Amino acid sequence: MNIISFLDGLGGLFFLVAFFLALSLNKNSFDKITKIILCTTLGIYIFVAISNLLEHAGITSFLDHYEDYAEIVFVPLFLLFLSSFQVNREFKNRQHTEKLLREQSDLLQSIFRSAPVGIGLVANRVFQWTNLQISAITGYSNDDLKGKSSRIMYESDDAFNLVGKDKYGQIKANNTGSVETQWLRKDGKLIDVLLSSTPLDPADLSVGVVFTLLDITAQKETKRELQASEQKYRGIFNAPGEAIFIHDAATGLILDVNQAMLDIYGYSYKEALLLDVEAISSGEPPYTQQEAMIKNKNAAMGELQLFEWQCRKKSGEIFWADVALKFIEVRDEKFVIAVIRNIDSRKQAEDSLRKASSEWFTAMNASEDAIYLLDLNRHILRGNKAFYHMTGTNSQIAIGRHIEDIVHPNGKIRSCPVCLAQEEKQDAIIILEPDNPDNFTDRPIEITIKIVRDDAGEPLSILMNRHDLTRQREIENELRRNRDHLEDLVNNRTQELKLTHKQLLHAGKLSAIGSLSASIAHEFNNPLQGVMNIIKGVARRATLEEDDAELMAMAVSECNRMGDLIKSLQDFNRPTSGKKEAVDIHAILDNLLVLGKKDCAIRKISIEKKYSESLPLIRAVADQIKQVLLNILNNACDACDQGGTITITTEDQVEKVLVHIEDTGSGIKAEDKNHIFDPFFTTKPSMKGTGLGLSVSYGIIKNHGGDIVFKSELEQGTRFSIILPIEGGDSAEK
Amino acid sequence: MYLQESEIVNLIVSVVAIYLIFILLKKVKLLGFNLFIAGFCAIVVAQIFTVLEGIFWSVLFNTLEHLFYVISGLLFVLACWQRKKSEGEQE
Repeated sequence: MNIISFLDGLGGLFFLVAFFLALSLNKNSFDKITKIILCTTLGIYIFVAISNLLEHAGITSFLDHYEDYAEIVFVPLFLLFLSSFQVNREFKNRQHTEKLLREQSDLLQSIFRSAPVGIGLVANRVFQWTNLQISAITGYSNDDLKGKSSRIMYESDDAFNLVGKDKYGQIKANNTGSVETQWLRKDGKLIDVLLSSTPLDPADLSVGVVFTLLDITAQKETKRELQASEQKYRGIFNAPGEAIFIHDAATGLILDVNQAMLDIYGYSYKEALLLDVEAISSGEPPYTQQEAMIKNKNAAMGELQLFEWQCRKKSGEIFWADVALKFIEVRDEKFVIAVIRNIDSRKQAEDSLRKASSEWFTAMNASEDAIYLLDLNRHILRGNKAFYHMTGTNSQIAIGRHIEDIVHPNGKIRSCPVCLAQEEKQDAIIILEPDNPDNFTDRPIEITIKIVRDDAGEPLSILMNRHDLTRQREIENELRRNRDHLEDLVNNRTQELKLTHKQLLHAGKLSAIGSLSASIAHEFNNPLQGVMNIIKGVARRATLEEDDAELMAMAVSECNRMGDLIKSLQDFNRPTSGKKEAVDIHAILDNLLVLGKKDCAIRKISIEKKYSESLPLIRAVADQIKQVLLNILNNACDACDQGGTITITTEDQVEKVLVHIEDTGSGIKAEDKNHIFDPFFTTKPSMKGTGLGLSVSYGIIKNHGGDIVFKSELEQGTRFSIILPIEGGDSAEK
Repeated sequence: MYLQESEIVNLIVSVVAIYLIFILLKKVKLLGFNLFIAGFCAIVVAQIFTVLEGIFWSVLFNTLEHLFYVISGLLFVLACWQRKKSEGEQE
């Protein structure tokens, strides 16, 4: 066997296998005719292969003769096989298409028949075909409508034309049109319908327009009811004075707000829907977005949230609000409703009340009295600090308990008057001494029971005030002691006044004596002048011996001295003129010394004068200055009761003169130094001094713009210095 | 040179047929027919070698002619097998 024979055998085998495989193919691959053509085509080459094998084997057969023809036939058969397959496939496709079209047609007709909407065809607004639903909607049968103008469905020509204009205008613009209108049913009832039309050929509407008809009467009615319901809801939503927010439960976004919200916060509706909680909160912790989201989350979990919040208006103004957050679920949508109530005024009132209450309680607690309030059953409503301190309790223990449990923990021995007054609802003031068995303290107390009543006079509560009288008793005792002491002082002062009165009487007597002395001196002066003239005349005319002449001269001298005394007495007693004039201090001093010369000699007091040679006259009230100098000279004499020396010194200083009167007497005690210018202060026996001398002198010198100072050493002497201005004081005349 | 009349006719008919087949393939798609057409083409190639063996290198072209018949047979087997297989998948 050569290779050609092998190849022919292998090729024939392949074609044979192909042949049988082709035979086994079913109609899904090829139809019967195509399969036969294929098998025939393959059979040709089986035939050719066998022929070749025989030829190579050297066997000549009739097959050789037909081999060439067979090969020629192969090509057309193969082409026929392809053509047959193609034709068969197209036939099958057409059959399949027709079947689909038939099915779709049946489906469409079924849909048209059973469609819940009316479907029809009009040409030039004349009904061509309608489905059963249109009959059901309009009440007309399909036959009634066929060939009729759609005008019969409209109440008026205007409605018919308006719908036509509107719908066909839309069709021209969009190839489809939809109009809501009202159709007149066969029974005359108007129904709301939605007409949607699409032309079969947009370029030529006369070909026909397919329309669908939907009865929307119920929907319209529902819509109207919904609108009414929404208006009602909106009215209710907007009616409250509280701001209402509707938040999305998941995100917290504001979905809706009512009119009160817009009024309170000052935003427009559009602005309000874009707000977040941060924008409408004060932002001061804890009034922040974060905190708000926590509360919103809690509310979204179904937990009602009630809290106070600091809100912010669009203007930036902050206000307090009561907030209630409530979760609701509507058709699987979850919301949180927030109701905001402005409580600014309430807050202010609360603050004021809290402040007033605090002030009131502070005041109550500051009281040392135990103050407490009982209800009508005598249970403790409230008490102040002193009450709790007194009873050894506190508010937690005492409030709500019966008062007797507190004040009579061991039970009452007998009827307590305080309890009795409380039970009988009578105002009362009861004092309990420490030994009273109803007094559970060791102090005297005063209990005030005041029944608090309403406007109608009905008792509301019992106000109790338990006042500790210990301090009051101490004060009373102190007052009693003070009164006794005061009475002693008054008695002493009365005695002193009596003494002073005596001194005044004595001063009056002295004054009277002074006046009497002046009067007597005046009366003595005239006879004295007569006696002196007589003596002078006798001495001049008579011839006397030397001794007698000396006696006569002595008599004249004594008469002159007596005249000087009388003049001095008159001057001393003469009422003050009050007029300032030029005064010679030395002359006044000399006159006074003349009067006191005899008295000083008796008391063994020597007078030493150290006069300034250039002492000027001063402007002063002469008799007042004389009185001052006399008072001081008298005091100096009185101080030198054991004898001594009085030195009178005058000094001339710039614009003032000084007069020093210094004695060597007993001096002034230290404790008396501060009182010597006091009125009625004297160290002399009562009938000798009035205590007014230095006081009056001090006043006179002060009135002259001067001053009196003194320096004294006990048992050493005293030196008074009188300082007087040369020009005199302005107030002296006053 | 040894040319047979029938071989020349066969070749011409086959070439025309291939031309027609390609025109057909341009218009319609014959899914699953590529192996059939390849087998047909192998036969046409074999027919070309048949003609050529009469002109020169007769042994070589004769061998190639029969080889291409084998190839053609194999392609038809594969084509039929493929159809058979697709039937099973369709079922």
